[in-house]
Amino acid sequence: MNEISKKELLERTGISYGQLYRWKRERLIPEEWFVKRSAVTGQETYFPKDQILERIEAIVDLKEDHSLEEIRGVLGSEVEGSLYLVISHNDEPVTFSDDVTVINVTSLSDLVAKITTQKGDN
Amino acid sequence: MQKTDFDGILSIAGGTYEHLTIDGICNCSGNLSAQILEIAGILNCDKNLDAGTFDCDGIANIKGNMRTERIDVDGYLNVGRKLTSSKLEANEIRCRGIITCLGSGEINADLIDAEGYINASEIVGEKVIIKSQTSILMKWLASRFSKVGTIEATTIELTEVTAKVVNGHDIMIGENCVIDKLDCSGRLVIHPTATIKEITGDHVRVTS
Repeated sequence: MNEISKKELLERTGISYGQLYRWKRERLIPEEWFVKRSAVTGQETYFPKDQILERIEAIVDLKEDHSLEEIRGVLGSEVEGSLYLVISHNDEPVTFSDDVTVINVTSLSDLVAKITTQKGDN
Repeated sequence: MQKTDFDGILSIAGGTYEHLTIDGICNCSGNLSAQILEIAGILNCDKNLDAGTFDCDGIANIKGNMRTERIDVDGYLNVGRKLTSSKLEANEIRCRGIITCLGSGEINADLIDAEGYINASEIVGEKVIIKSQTSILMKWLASRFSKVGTIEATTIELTEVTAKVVNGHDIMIGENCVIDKLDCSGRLVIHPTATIKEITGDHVRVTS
């Protein structure tokens, strides 16, 4: 994997230690991207290069007009969103009648449970 | 805001509170959450603690992770347990007592301002100030509590701190500090009584 050290990252992007760790604390940068590894100089932290550079560029662009909480939503780490399903039967798309039922689900298992319940009701 | 007072000795399974005050001894086996948490007695929490404001004049032992907006410690706060990796996260930490983060624990805050002692594997943030107190009691405690693995912040000010690695932009190393490796990219001030084994980085040295 193409990696970049923490020191090189700060020099290249111009962000400070404080910004890097605030964004980590605010879950804008995933913790698993901070990879600690032994080095000649002691312990070094490395990041997946393309991902971290892209993420920092996005945060720097967005932070001018948005709060960190809004940025977290834009970046998708804690977004409440919609689940779109394409349902088919024998490889043919199912045609819905006008009385399509809208159900709100919180997870895939919740979806399965609600579909099973509705099927049972019919 | 509803205020809840815990006096005496009690055990709870966890829960969410608005304003919780602990004057006695509270043992909590689950996650605990409060907008305001004040401890004058003893809190033992086996899981995670989430609080808006955390004020500890007594003893708090949080075995999981701790996440707050503001921490004020005049007593003793421990986060994590040995051989684990726990986190203490806050916007602001002020410590006039003792904070320890056991295991490979990380303290992450915008501002860490300590005139007591902090012991952690890693302290990171925007501004880290640790100035150990000089009372006889605190001097005795310092031999056990004032060691830090790595400190990384934009601005760092240390007095009587032992650390393996210190990385920052503007760094002031005060009296009696012992640092193995220091990397500075801005302004560096070192007190004559401090010991630093290795200094790197493109910095400007300023005489104290």
